[in-house]
Amino acid sequence: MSAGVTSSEELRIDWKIQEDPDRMAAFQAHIDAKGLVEADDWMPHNYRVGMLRMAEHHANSEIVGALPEGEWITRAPSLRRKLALVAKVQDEVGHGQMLYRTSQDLGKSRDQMLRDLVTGKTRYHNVFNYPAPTWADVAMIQWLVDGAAILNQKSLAEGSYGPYVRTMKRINMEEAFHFKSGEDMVLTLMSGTKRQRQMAQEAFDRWWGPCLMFFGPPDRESTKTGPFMTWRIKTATNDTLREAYVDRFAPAARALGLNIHLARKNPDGLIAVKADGTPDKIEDPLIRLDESTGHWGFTQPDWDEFYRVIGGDGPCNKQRVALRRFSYEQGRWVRQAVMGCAGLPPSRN
Amino acid sequence: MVTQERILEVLRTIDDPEMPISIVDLGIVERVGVERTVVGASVDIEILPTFVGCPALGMIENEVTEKVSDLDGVERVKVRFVFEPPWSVDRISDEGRQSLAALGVTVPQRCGDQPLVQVGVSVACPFCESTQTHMVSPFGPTRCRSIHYCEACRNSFEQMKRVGGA
Repeated sequence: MSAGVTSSEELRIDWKIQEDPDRMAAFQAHIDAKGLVEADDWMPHNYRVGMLRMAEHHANSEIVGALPEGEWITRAPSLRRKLALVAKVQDEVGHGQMLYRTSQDLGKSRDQMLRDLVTGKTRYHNVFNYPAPTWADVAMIQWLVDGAAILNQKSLAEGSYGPYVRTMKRINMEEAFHFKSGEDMVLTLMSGTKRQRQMAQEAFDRWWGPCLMFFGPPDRESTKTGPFMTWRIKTATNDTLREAYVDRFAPAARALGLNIHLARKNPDGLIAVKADGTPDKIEDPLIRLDESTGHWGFTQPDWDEFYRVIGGDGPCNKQRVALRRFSYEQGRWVRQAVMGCAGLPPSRN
Repeated sequence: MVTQERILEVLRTIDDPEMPISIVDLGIVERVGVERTVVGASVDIEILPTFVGCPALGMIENEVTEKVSDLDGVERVKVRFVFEPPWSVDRISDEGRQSLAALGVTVPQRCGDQPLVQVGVSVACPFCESTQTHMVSPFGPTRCRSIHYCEACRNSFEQMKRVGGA
């Protein structure tokens, strides 16, 4: 299988590459006419690499994203919730399977992708570097994080790469189901005891910031947004999606009785406590509907924290990667057994 | 007075929470019973889950209860899950099959007694109809689906698992 492995040198974005101008013009015209690009079609190098990066990052996020929730399967509060959580974790891993398949066709072997993930060469979504210390965190992940994922993926389902778009449409239907169950979980907590409501509020305080960061850095700091929008690898900018998210979730949270806070965090991802023992947080003073624009105001998340966590120094980075690495190493003999004798079809690598 | 047909019409507007197919087309509505009482109709609906451990049952139950209760003349709605006869993919309607195929989920042909997961049998791709396909994983994103890949158009797709006999 070594022959099929593409070196990572070839998989870099390089804006200096000169593509054939006629082909480029035809490609752009096809994209502008809302045409879809298929796996065997000609595509510019940077389109291929950009699309691969996005699909691979998405695949990584699906399988790492299953980890914080998987921890809670044995501790789910009822059989019904346990069943739903097991199914959700299976969903995410299944999505990962399909997205790795899509990524393979863009030129990187599955094994290389799994190795790059466990050696820290590639990343997964930043939001999964935060801890889920209570059941209310599981509820918030399903409601707030999956809500963010739906918004983002709906925009990606309008993209230009056919195999990714088709997979995204199926994934989105399942995410919508997770979101509805998450909403139900949050509702249950918020209509419960004072202790349950407090637990939900504390979990909300932990996840609100990471969810605002979910859509990536502000547009002014995002270098790839421009060309990626032109090729419809992305169809909405980070700031547009973030604004739509706040417009949807700020009123929904308040309607459920949750307050939006600016909270100081400890390195372990938990909210810092003041000398008097109360959480170090204040209500976000900017949260209100601006009647003139129709949009909700909000305070930007801590972007220093974003870059720090993305750089590897988040509350759970090491733990998540270590668990993936453990699983990758434990599964080696299975891969060898399967790859060694099964006579795999030609395009599998 | 509300009729069985009127109730089925409402059930046709309720989709499976994870797929673009109504619960009637999915073949999980086993029986709709309407009993007239002095205060209004008492409706009993029997649902046949695709998989016993399906996590969507609670949501389906709520939506059915809510929408049928809204009908004029309905006094009481009771949804019951039954497991006999076992649900099978043969119960999925032609219309339902088409709408699933458009999404990239294929349903095995109706042919009765076949194993749950068929190994070594080529499944036709719902996008390009080629049979140059192979199974990537018997465990798809949901309990009732496996993942496949088409060598011809190079798309992933899914197949509903054949469950039970006809």
